[in-house]
Amino acid sequence: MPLVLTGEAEPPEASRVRAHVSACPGCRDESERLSRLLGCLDGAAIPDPGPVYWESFLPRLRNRIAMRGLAGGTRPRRQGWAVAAGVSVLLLGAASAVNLQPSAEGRQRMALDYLALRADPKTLSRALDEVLPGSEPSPPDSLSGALAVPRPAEFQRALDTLLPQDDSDLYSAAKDLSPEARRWLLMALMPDRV
Amino acid sequence: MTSPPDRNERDLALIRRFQAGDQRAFDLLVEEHRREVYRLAYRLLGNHADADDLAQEAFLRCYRSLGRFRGESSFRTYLTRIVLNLSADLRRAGSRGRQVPMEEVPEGDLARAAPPDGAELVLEATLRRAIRRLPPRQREALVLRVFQEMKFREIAEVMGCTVGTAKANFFHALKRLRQRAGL
Repeated sequence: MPLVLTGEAEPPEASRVRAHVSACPGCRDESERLSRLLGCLDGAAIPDPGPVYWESFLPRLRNRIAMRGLAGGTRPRRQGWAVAAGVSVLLLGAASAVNLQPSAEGRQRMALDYLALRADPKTLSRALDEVLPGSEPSPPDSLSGALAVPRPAEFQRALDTLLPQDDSDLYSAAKDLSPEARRWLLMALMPDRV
Repeated sequence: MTSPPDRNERDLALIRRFQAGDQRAFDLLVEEHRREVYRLAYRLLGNHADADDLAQEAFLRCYRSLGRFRGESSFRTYLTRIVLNLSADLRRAGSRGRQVPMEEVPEGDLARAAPPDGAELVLEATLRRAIRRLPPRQREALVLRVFQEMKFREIAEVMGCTVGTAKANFFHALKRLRQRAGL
């Protein structure tokens, strides 16, 4: 009967079972109970985690791949994801530094420390060569336009989703970023969103 | 809506592009399948944190091995097998430290479907708990058949068993759920 109710029985068998069920009260009752069970299962939708989660899914996956040293594993040329992940964490460090306003040397050290904690040496070296060829990065020009500043709660959710287990001082500092720095960070971590 | 053969063809085209070095093709594969993978993981593990972790790991494992994918099964089947293997790894590793049931995620973060009436709601909650208590193989067969809408032939392929065994696991799962739900 479950095969018939789930549409997997062969047509002759399904016809035979249906004919019997229509004439047999016991089997009809059984069929109704089973149908109700399958209906409830089918309708038991799981909650959707929401748009912030889905928007962060791919960037987090890229970071995870880069951190395992897999980026470009099947790709013979540039290791774009590793660099992107490096850039993301670098910008996090730099964006935090915008708020804290330490010295230039201090900013660079914070960014380096943050990268060193999370990137393998090759990724770190490559990211630094690409992004920091002797100077700290500036916010992209596109951010000086009319982009909406994310609401604090929205930003907080994004940060919690992207860095759920980060308990570094840098993370604490990032929570108090200026709106401009938040916008910059969101751009770095969630480029598809802005 | 894209039919399964079309979807499989599109997946295969993306895989070939990825194998030729097009990183964006992998992004597109992830975007296409992430919701289904997350939902499957959630059905198997029963909470958001583990489902998220498993979904991310599944795509990471996929990224690592996709260069060797030959198209002998559909990408969906291939991905589902990865999810089941990771779920089995989790079981072997024992209970997880981080258990955050979806019910504890702030209300505002969840896009909920229209609530069913009270009796159905209770029954659904009972069934959700009952599904989590099923033996792993029975839970897999049930989830793949009812929620993933896979044919038993595909379920057998994914679970690495015969069609008869897949059906038997499904029937036993239904029987247990009926006992638990009083149906």
